[in-house]
Amino acid sequence: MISFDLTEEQAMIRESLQAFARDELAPGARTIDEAGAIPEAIIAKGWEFGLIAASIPEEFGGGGAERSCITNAVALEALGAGCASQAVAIMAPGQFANALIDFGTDEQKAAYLPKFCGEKPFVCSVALHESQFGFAPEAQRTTATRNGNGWVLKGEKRLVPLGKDAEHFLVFAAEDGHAGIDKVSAFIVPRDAEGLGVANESGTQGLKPLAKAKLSLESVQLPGSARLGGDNAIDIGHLINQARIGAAALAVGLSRQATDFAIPYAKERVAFGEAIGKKQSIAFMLADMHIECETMRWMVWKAASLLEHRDPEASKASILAQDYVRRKAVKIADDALQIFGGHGFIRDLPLEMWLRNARTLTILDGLVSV
Amino acid sequence: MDLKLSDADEAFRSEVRAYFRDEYPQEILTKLANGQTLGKADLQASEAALNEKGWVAPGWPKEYGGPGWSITKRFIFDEELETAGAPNVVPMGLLYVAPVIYTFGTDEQKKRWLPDILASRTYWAQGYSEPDSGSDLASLRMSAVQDGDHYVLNGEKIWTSDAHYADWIFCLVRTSSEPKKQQGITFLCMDIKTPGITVIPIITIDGGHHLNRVTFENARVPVANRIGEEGKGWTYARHLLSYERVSYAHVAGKRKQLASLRKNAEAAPWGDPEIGQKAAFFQKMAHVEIQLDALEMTLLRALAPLAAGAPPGDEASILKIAATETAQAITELMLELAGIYAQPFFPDRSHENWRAGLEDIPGYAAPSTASYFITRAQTIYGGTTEVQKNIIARQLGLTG
Repeated sequence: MISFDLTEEQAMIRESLQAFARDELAPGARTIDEAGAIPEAIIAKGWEFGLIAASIPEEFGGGGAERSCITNAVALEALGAGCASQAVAIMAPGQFANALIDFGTDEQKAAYLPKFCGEKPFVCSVALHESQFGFAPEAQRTTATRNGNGWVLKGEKRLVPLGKDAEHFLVFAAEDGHAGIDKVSAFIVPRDAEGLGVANESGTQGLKPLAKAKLSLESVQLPGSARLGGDNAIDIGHLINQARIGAAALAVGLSRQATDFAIPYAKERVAFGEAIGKKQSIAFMLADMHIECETMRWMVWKAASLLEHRDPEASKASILAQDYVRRKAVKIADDALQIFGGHGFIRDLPLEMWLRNARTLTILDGLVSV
Repeated sequence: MDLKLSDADEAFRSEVRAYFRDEYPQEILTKLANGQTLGKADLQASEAALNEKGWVAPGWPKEYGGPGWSITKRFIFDEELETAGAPNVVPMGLLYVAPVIYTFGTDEQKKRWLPDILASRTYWAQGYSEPDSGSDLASLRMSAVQDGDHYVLNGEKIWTSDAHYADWIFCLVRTSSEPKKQQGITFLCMDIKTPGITVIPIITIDGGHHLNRVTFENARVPVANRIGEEGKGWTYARHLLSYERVSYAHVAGKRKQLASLRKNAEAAPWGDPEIGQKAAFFQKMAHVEIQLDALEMTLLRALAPLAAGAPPGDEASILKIAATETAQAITELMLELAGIYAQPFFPDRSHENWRAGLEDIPGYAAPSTASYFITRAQTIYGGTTEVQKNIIARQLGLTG
């Protein structure tokens, strides 16, 4: 029987995170965006939910829950509806942890996963993006070349979330310079690796307060054990799709927030003698926004569910969901701004921030994963 | 129907083209081509150069310093200015308040204000919108109560472009409450340094300071600064919109943007042609190029009665929607081409080396991002697209 019900535990997680987003993330979002930095206290509060540790096996100190892409999609949507920038800052390390849970060797799991189960936030970042025109995760320019039992990495990564604070990076690279997804692997690189340079990126238009770094890899030597999964072939496409759906879930949250902010305004704002929400052009716009929020959610959940079950259709569902969300989330943020007129265009209200965030969120991969 | 210009008009076009190529300050064009933003001094220099040629106020009657051009010549001039990449004049003084002053003002007011506006010695701000009166401007509430030979002003104006640069501000103020809200509105000019007037910056989506909030607390403004009769302000403000509305289309500027976009798109290192990314983008670009052709035809259609000396038709709302949606379609494509290169935020592009440290970002990207954000306002200001469609519906007899 098809059911869209969440489990009791998922419903509880959603409720707590929605309250956290509403009471802690949303109120400070504008100030944080202007300041261009996220207070450590917020990251610490987000860490207390133990979302990243929840599905780390108990033997490594984690909650031992089953890895659930749906649960993560629900969590990311809830957090994204508070503030997308803060949500990424809290959840970005989860991308590294999830990759190890899914594909790490026993040694890799033992070495890194316990660190995510402590009281203090532990930052590791995924380094996926590069600077070439029309970057696609399947076409990496960063290369990994066999060197005896080990590897040598060369290249550059851009817009790595929380890069300057990361203890370790999971760097995507094309083995031996080959093209195609089959030849892309991921490598665990410690921040003090020789040949690795980490520099702050200058600011971005959207997700402004989220710190991002540029990595330069100049013949970084790694042991064989640094390759995610060791010598085993791993399904790197699965990791990339989890990242696609992670960002998409955040964008659904942002869209929901913008829509829910515009509805009461349309009921109060008077022009030409009546509330603008009574005018069909605005009412229809809001109806369309609501329809798309719902549709995006179901497409994200479908992809998350297929990913969770390692279904062969998961890749197609992920790409379609990503494409749909990318287009619709920007349109929703844009329409919400239009409803507020001049007030939407300025930095007093959050509409313009949501449009900027939507633009960045829908162009970057490698921020968070389900 | 005849789309050909006369020989005389073609000769005029050549003359204007040559001016921008050989006489106009080239450093301003170079700055803009480099993706730099212009400051007040640059804009004044541009206007001073045009004024020296007698071309800074194409719409003004000859008696006040205008060149006495026909509508067609004005259109040609605007086209050539934009094609050369030169900045449009700052409109508030030269385009918005000056026609009201020379049409409805007293001789003393004309003598007092027009020469400084023509020479760009004074800049003006437009005090129209209020926080609760945007699209429904006639509902404005800022009050002006007469006290002897002054009006006492209380209220607030918002979205006041460049009020922080302005010396004077012209406002629509409410001098009485009438059954029809348009009837109690008066057109008043004032020194922006009048005690009681405060200019407060507003930061917009692009992170820039272009707009302001202007508050009025018991500000005393001479009755002698009122244009025309009390209660007729709405009529004066609307009367002279005909050419300004059509010059809003900026077709030549859009053609230049699309030509740049095409050049950058052709040079971009698109990947595997089988994936069709390049083909898909070029198809979208073709659609927008066609949209621009349609906009140009709409503009020429709106200009034709004016050129023949007849009153304007009903095309203003169509033109506003078409011009602003085309502007946004172009910046959307520019943003799409820039892709991830659109992400970096350059807070200050006023100097030559604004790209220092990020030279790997192509030069077209950051100006594309800035254009996209600034252009976002176009379907909002001047009456939102939704309001324009309501006007068209009324013209079609669909609503009361």
